[in-house]
Formats: sequence, structure tokens, C-alpha cells
Amino acid sequence: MTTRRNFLGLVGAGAALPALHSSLLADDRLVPAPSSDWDMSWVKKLTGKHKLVLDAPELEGGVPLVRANVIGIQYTDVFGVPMSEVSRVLVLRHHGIHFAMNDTYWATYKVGADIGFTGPDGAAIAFNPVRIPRDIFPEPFRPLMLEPFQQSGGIIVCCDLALRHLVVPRYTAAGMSPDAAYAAAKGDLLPGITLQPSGIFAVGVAQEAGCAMVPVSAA
Amino acid sequence: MTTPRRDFLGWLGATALVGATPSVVLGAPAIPRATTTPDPAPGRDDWDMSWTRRLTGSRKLVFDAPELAEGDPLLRAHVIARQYADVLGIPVERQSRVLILRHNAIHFAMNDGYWARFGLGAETGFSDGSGAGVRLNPVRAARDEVPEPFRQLTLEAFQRSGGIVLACHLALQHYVAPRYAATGLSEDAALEAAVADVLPGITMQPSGVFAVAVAQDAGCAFVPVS
Repeated sequence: MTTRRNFLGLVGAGAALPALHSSLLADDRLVPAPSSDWDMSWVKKLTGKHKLVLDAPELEGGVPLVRANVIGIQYTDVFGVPMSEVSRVLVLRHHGIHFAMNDTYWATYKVGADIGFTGPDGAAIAFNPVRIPRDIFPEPFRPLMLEPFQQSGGIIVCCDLALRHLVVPRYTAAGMSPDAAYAAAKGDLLPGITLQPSGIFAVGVAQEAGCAMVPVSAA
Repeated sequence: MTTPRRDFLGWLGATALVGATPSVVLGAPAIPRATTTPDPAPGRDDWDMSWTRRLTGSRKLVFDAPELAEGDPLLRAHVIARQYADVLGIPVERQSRVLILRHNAIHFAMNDGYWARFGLGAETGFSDGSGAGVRLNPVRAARDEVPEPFRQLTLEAFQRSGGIVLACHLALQHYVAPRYAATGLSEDAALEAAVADVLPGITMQPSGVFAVAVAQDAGCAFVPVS
């Protein structure tokens, strides 16, 4: 919905929800409508005996993906339930948004160099380091990546505010218009990741749907 | 518990998991939550999950403590119980409280001997009245240096009031056991020595975040206390 999207765009451009002035909040034109075009179908997939929302606001050297995978293993190990009975929603928000982006984004905008992800040779990596298992990762870390998480039934959602605030500006800095930059950034999201109006919104909705809240960034 | 899993988690802990942050991994709800209290699968594992059966209060809280935060986790864990009693009229004995010491907060799960031997006071910034690093676990028991009314808000007091304390095995492997290994012990002996220095009454869990999730499975509200 255009009005609400504009509202969220404004928030992203302004840096943070708390920065909103009360006069803005009082402006009816900025109040989102009660229905929307956001894809909330992931909520219906939360059918396991155990339900977890894995909150990843930071990159933390890839630890969020490791924890997201390991906790599923621990549930199956300790409680003897199949992974299909452990519904898991990973929320990539705030700085964690970069893990939602494809290799092209990481290469084009030199994200590895920007945020300090280096390979074994010390050079900045030019791909999403947690997307797939790679030979550069030692076992048993290697399989604890994003696509294996999805393949095991894990749901991944990400934050539109973080996309607008932390990702889109890289495209605009390259000369794109704001609209084109936003469209291009959405086009560079990895397959199977569902964009949400905000990450914390998704964290809240997941708990309403019965998920336990699990912080998976290091602290 | 199967050996391969221990090895697997041990490898994670010994390398980079839980916050070493290498450049890459290389180097009150609208809909009430189901309050199932899961039991371990018989014969599948030997982790002690009996604490979930003690969550019988009319209010259930899991306190997530990933950081030492100058002792705030213990203060908050105590204070919230008093507030539930004062504001909601629910006595502490009718509250079920689980404190999870994970990530950097694992040191609070360790005894005075560990803090003294490895100089944790100086390393973590906990000092005594003279300004020197403490040589004991600063939150275990009441200390004269701590002013009232905070002095009594300790870990042992939390346990005596019915609070359950859990600790993260991955953090123990990653942040504690290496200190013993650095003295010349083998990896296995170091882990064994570390486990022996965990304070009485603290239950080890496969990971802290696992326990955080299980506590909520059992009906606890999530409360960050670092």
C-alpha cells in the first residue's frame, strides 16, 4: 500500500522510530491502513510442536545462522522430535539485514570490506558468507548456513526498515533514484526470504503465533 | 547423550561460536502460548531437564543474561520478583523464575576458586573496596563492599528464594574451559575441571539459547536482564 510504504520509507530515511516527531504521528496521512499487501503467509506455517522465533539484529561473525541451525538440532536431540516439529522463524533485522542479500549485492557494494568479513587469506569476501556451505568453512560449521536452514524447514523474514535504511542507500549512492534503488534492493533479496514491515513487527507477530523468543545474535 | 553431539558442540565452542566474532565463522501475547512442558526423549540424552517440571507458579519468567553487566542480571532477577509481589500481589513462592547464565555471563556460574585462580575480577572490572580486582564470584553471596539495599540480591539468595539457575555448556566450553587448558590440562580434563567449579545447584544446558526457548515452551515470559 503506497501510503504505508511511504510512511515506512520516511521512518527509514529518518533513522529510527523514536526520532519521529509527535506532529508526524498526529498526521492522518501517515497512519497505515488496517490491511496491507505484506506477505504474512509464513505465520500459517508455524505448525510444529515447538515454535521458535530467532531474532538476529547483528551479523556477529555469522553466529546467528550457527545458533539458528544448532538450536533445531538440540531440540531434536534432547526431545526426540523431528525437525518438522520445530517451527523456526529467523528474523534478519537491523544490521542482520545484510545476510538477507545475495552475492551480487555483497560483491557490488563491497559489503565484506565495509563490515569486516574476511576470508582465510585476510581479503574481504565478495559474497554473502552465510548463504551456502563453502569449502572455506571448516566442519562442522559448514552446513550451518542460510540455505540449509531453509531446506530444513526454517522460515526467514527480514526487515523492510533495515532494507531501506542500511541497504538502499548503497544503491542510491551509486546513482539510482530512491524508487529504483528500493526496487533493485528488493530484487537482490535472497530467494525465499519474506520482507516484513519491520523486523521487530515480525518478532512480535511470531510470538503472538506461539513462538518462543530466542536472541541469536551473540548477546 | 551421544558422544558425537558432545564432540560437535565442543568443537563449536572451542572455535568460534558464541561471540568470538571472527571475521567469518572461520577464523503478554495476544494469543496465549501453549504451555507444554517438554520432557527429554527417554534414552536420547542425559541433559538434566527436570527444572521444567518445577515451573509451577502462577507467573513464570525466564531471565536471559548473556552479559555480566556489572551484576545487573542478579539485581534485576531479584527486583522483578519483588515487583510482581508488590504490584500484582503474587508472593515470590508462587512465581517460577529461571535465570539463564550464558555467553559472557557464564562466569557468574563459577565458584570463588575459579574467579581467584584466573583473575576474573581484574579482567571483568569487578573490584573490591580497595580498587583491586575481586578474587571471588562477586554475585554469589553478600559482600560488604556492596551497599544496601543491593547487598542481599545475590545468586545464592535467588536460589534460596526458589529461583532456578541454568548455565550454557557452549559458553563453559568456549569461555571457561580454555583457561584450564592453558594451565596444561588436556581438553577433556580442562572441561571436567571447569564443570567441577560450577556453583552448586546450577544446571548445565546444551546451550543457553536452547534453555531460553524451552523455558518459554513451558510458559515463561522472556525477560532480558543483562
